[in-house]
Amino acid sequence: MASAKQTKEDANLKGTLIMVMILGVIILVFWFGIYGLFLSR
Amino acid sequence: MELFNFSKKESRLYMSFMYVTFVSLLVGGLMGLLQTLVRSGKYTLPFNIDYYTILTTHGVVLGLVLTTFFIIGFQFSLMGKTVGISDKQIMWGWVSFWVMLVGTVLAAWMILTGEASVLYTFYTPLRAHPIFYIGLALVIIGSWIAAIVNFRQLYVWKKAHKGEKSPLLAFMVTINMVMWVVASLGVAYSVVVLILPWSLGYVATVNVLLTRTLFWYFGHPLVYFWLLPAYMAWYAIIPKIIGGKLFSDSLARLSFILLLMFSIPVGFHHQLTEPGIDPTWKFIQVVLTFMVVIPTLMTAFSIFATFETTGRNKGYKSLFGWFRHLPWKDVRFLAPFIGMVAFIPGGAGGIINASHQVNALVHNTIWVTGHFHLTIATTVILTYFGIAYWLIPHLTGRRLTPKLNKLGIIQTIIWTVGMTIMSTSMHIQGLLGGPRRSNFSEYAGGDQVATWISYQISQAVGGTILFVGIVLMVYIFIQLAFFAPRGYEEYPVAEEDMDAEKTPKILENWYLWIGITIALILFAYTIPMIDIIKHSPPGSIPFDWPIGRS
Amino acid sequence: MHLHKYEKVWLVFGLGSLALFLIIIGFAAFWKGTHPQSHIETIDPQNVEANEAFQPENLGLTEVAEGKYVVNMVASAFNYDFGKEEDGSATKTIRVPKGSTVLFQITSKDVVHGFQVAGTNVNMMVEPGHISRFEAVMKNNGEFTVVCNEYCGIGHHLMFGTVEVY
Repeated sequence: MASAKQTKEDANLKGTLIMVMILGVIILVFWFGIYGLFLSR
Repeated sequence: MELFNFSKKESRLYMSFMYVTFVSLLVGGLMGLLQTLVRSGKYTLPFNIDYYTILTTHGVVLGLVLTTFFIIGFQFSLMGKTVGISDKQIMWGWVSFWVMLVGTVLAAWMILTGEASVLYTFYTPLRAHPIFYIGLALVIIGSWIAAIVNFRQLYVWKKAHKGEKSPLLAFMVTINMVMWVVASLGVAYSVVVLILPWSLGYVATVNVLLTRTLFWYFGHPLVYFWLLPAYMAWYAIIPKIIGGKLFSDSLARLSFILLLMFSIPVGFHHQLTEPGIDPTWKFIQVVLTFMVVIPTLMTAFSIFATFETTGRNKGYKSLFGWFRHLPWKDVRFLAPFIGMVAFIPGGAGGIINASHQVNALVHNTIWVTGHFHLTIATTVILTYFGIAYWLIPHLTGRRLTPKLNKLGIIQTIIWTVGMTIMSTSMHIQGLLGGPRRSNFSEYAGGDQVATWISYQISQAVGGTILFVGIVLMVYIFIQLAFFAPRGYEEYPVAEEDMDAEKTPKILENWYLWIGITIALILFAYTIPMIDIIKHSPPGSIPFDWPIGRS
Repeated sequence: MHLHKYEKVWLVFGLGSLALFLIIIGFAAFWKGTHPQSHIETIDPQNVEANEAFQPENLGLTEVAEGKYVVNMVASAFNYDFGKEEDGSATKTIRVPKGSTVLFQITSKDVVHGFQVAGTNVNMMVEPGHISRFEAVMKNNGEFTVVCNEYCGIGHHLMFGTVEVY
């Protein structure tokens, strides 16, 4: 059981992290872009 | 994991929901096409048909009928597959189907005869024919019958499997139906107690703000009711299709619980520009709205992690090798995947919409229409299509042939292209102030309006491409239902890893989660509701003539 | 329940972003007073003239102080009443100088309407029984179309006006 847990812990999810971070940056860019437009009006 | 085989009787029940779904798709889709054509300014409707009649048809048929029928049929099949269904439950399944269908037909009859051009939100004091409201009430009541059957199915299974955790998909269906029942109580109260007697003339006036607030108490969980079946497929079906396992049973359940808790107490973010609601309570519901983003952030991680773990277990070692080797040529994967991608701008747009004062930038502009054509009409519907490619042949004892798979891929691409064009131009036009829910109009003329119309022309182009996609999808459906070669199509349900972490028992403590859900609703709504009732203006008499009724 | 360390990173980032958005809009709303419109002021929709602002002679644009204006309007299917011109014809265009502060006040005599000065942040629901009110600084020059952006019946798209900022 302990060893099985170990493998989960170390599962290589580097690609996943990069993907979700890209997604997060898209959300930030969209939001601040629109907020800027709101302030300009 | 035990999976039940469907009897003929069962399959017939589930298929009947699918027939209504795809008839709705064709009818509602045609209305959508006509709308975009009219709004281009280059086309007028024949036979004096009013624009708002087709707009109401489009919204009701696609937003309420297609979705509800597909969801309930699909969820019945999930329950039948994972916890089983008894003959008596099948009988009640048919009752729910017929009650919903009768309701649909009544509402459709009123809409098509011009007696209910009130759009799918039916805001008072515009008054539709009473039969329209009766029809809507029946659809909701029918869906409650289905919910009760689903609850009973899980209950019976639990009694026979003491101490075991419920199958993940059955758990998810139950969450969605609990949310649906709690949310639709609001709109049912509004329709049956406030609007119906008023529409019949038994009561002189109606409290407009109260009916709107009850509608949106229901209206936001409604969109989650559409989305959760897509999440079910993403969490628990797609992993099987790509040859992997569940990423985490516990995290999937946790995210569904969070969705249950935070989907409902958030309706004010649809009412941010209303004059009669305290801004502090609006802001409180904005905060709660942002909470509902969290389970979606978790879902995004889970999905990518499923893909990556599966790919790495297959031996793709490079950073993105797992991504390149996803089964891109399998439409059961590709269609939902495009749906997931559409949820990135869809979700980002949703956060913007809910951002309190920033909402004024986009409220009731066609940006909003562009937004929900990404979320419901791409994310959700492409996932539903992705489900249909295996569910329909599984139910009819046929196969998704390579040829049909290929047609499905073409369909997905057509949809992606059409929606990208249509939704993007809606978003831009909305930021330029172009209104939604409007017939073609040149207003006072000028540069601003001319720009809007140019975007409406590109929406017509996108809408036309989408309609081609709809016709192709209906063709594929007919093939899968009646003509594809006989055989066996798998009902893909992902399994847990052998060494998966044990799911904590507390995740199945229904009293706890439903209790918190109700507490949050009471917190978010009690005081503003008292305010709305205490500070209510003289009520509104009904108005028939503005919608063309005499 | 176990979270992968990258999922923790992601959730901290995601929650942080959401918190940041909330702090920005919360600060703007509660400290700078840029809430969406909400005044919870009621009126009898069948007798809007009972309120001084919506008496026929008070409709339209009034300069209340240097650079400060009030616009009173009544919405009904399918028209905005912006008051009358000197020659007695209905006002269709409201003209204000750039940089002026304008308080828009509107109510409905019948059904639900919208009031948006397209291209600005002036965007309100107009409901029978309630007074909608929003003050805006007109920062940019141009002709802005006023549109009813909530469905009010079969003539909904014919309900419009113009705000000109010069």
